[in-house]
Amino acid sequence: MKVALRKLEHSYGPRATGRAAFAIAALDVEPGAKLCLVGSSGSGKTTLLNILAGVLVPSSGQVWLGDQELFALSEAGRDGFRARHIGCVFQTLNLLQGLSVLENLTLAQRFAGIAGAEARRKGMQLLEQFGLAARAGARPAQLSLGEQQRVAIARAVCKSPGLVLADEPTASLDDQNAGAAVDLLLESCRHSTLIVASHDARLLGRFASVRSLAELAPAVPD
Amino acid sequence: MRTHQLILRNVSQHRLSSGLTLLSVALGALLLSAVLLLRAATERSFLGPSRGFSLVVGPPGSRLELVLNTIFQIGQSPGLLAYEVFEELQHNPSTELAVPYAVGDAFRGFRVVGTSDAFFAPRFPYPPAATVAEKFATGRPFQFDAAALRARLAEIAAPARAGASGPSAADEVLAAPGALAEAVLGASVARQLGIRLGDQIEPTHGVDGAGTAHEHAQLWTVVGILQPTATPVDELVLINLDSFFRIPDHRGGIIPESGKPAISAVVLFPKPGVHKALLLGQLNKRTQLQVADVDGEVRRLLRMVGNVDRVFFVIAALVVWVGVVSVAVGIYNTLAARQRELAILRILGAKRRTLFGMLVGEATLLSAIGGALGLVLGHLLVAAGAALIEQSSGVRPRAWLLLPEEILAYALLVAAGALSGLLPASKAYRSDVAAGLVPLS
Repeated sequence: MKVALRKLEHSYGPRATGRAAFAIAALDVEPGAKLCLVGSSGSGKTTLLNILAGVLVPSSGQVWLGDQELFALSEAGRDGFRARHIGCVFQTLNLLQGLSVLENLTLAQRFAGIAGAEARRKGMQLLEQFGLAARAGARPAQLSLGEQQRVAIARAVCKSPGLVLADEPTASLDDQNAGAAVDLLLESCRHSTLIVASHDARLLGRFASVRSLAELAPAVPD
Repeated sequence: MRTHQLILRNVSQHRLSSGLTLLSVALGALLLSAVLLLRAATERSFLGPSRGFSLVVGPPGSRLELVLNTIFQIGQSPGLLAYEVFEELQHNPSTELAVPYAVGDAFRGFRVVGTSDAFFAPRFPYPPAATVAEKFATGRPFQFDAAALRARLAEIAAPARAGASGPSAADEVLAAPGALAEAVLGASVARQLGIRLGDQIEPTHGVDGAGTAHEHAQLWTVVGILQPTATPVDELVLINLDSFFRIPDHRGGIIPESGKPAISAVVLFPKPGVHKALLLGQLNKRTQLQVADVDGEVRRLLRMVGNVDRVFFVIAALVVWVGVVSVAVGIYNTLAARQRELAILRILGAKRRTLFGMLVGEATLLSAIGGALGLVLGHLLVAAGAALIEQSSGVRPRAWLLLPEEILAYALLVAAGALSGLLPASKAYRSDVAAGLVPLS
């Protein structure tokens, strides 16, 4: 899925008086590209990812995901679009603690319109690929951090999204797990566009395309 | 995973909060169920046995007391009614059936009623039967001779008018029980006391408790046992009115002012149509007696009881309301802790209305389970206490019957629970996804 931003601006608070988080004149990410967005804490990386996910409405500008201008959709429309086409990996993993590993995956697929039996089949297939088949019935709290990260990545890719957004996916992980997580992310997003926001130096060498938010939005302090 | 599975999972995930909320709702439903069951039992205890009766004629006084004493065997007889009133009513063109009642004795805790064979007529509502024979589980009615009774009453009245005192030859005649000392028992009397046909019983003076023995030993032979009716008739000992007046102690059943022999009441069954109104019109003009409409007095009693009953109902409804509010409070209080969970659901693609529906669903589920639990516990509680309730009040609740009012109350409780979920659901609806995903550290 191609990602294109045009004259994107976002301010915290009222436009007239609020502090601008960033202003991006243009950004194009080709389908299947793997982009790492770097910037210091508070630079607006998460804000940008939230805009790309459609959960935060920008102050102005356009966001094109494939042929769809994201904010031409209603909120409910964006929810449905996100359910089908966007996978998210969070810094704090954000697995649903009350559900099992497999249920976390099937729920994400259900919102994407994938029916129960098919969702379970795909979920188990993915867990097998990730080496987590034996943990399908476990609750997230019963998993190690590294295992939870793998489940979070599996949940993001289980519906075969066109775009995967990962916000600081290695922040909570040690070097070994961080490396494994990035490898898994890159491997499982072979056919998807991947945008990772991070200030983790361990990631930089793994991505063909690394852009600084300060470079994309010159007005924002680096 | 479907929304309803998510709802179940959310409820079970917050076990303590859900459990306490369920308990709160269940308590209210339990109280409501118990109140409704007891109210139904009370109504059944009075409306059921009174069905089929029409009018009761008795001495002046309280109509309610007259009906309670005559139909339900509760309390004391309000006074004496001249026997000639019964004879007059018996021959009234508007009367289909007139049944005399003379009370004053008891047999081992069961009331003895002196009456005529009219008590066993098919028109008399209990036991319900098309023929006299079908009213009996075993045996037959006692013998009754109206002419002989009139002769006895004349003998009783004569010494009274003459002002005689002390025993007389008539006393000796009367003291002899004679061939007419026959009794018919209600089904409960026979069952509880283990009495069979041919056994002899000795009533004692006084309607309550053990009573006092009569001056002369008086024995009656049991000749019939009625079919069970689930009414106060089951607890009666019926004796021939003639033999009732043969008891010397009962010769005092004379109205002092007139010297006329007296009974307690007449149970009157008018002919169909306007005859009830005609009888009421005639009898209401008479000052030496009163006539009570059985159905009217029972409903008046239930209205009086209902006022008290209403208070308990309101209390129970308030407890239910507290339970329903606790559903909303319980879910609302978990929202802060669930902000991240709700944000995750949104980021996975759940629409706002999905979250809204999920929380309303949780509230509905908690109310439904709590309400059902309360109904079951209410029935169990009433079942456990049924014997005690019957012993203390004479009312036997049917704990295993689900009342239409309970079904309606349950439906309203679930609906109220669903509505109570609107507040937390609306907050979840407005929740900010981005804010919910902010890392905790």
